[in-house]
Amino acid sequence: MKTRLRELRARDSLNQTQLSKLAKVSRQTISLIEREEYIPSLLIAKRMAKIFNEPIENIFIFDEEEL
Amino acid sequence: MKFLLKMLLYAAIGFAAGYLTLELLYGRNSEGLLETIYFWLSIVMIVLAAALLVYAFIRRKKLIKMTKDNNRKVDDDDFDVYSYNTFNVVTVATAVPLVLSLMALAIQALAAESPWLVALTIVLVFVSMFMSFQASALVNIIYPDKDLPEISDKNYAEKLFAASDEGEIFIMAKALYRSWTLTSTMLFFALILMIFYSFITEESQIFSIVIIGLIMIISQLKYAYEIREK
Repeated sequence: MKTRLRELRARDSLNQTQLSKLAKVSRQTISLIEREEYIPSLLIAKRMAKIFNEPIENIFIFDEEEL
Repeated sequence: MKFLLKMLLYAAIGFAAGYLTLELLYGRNSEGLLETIYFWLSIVMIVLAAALLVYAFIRRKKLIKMTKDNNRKVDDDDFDVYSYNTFNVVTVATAVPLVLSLMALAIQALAAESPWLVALTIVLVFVSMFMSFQASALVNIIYPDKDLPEISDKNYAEKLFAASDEGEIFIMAKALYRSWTLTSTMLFFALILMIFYSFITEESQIFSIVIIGLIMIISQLKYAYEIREK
């Protein structure tokens, strides 16, 4: 899974700590997702979609083989 | 920290290898020499434990000072990385001295040469225990917003998991699994080493072998019990 989280965060001038507070998760979780070491739950994905006003599939991009 | 753990592991392996070589070469005649080696080894352990405790104390104090400083000129993300890593360092730098001072105490008490050194080591054990307890409590100071349990809480593990989010649980699970695998492997090699030691030195290590074997079995059973299909 690829993620555009870092790019979207830069677009909205948010640091990891600020995003973590908005998404009600720890900064470690944001860092983990950005490093593409962890696929977030649907709940976190939905929160991210709401924060960045983007559909989930524009934030988290899966390869065809993964689906 | 990785470097420190590596060094400690190499030191333990080196000591075990050297000890077995001495026993092989000199057998019973090396008794006096080994006592001297044990004595100095315990001194090194005491010095190392004390140095680590001082280091942990300084890092802890600096972290608390920075956490309480509302005007610190550090980026939020950088500060969170700093406090998270410092917490880890302080935890290790207080846990290692506890083990080192206990080992030193065992050597000093068995040798019974200097009551002062025994007393000093007992003090070191208590200081290590106190600082280890304080290090665990540090998490509540650096993350005051989180509803983290007190270290003395009976259901600490359950409450810690409940207060952690999915990313944190993922990190903990991965780290715990890796350290559990490492511990199991090292216990297995310790068992082999003790069997060889018993044969070479003709000093029975059966008690320790049985204890380590039981720990390995209980640990395996506990893991299987925890991950079973409910």
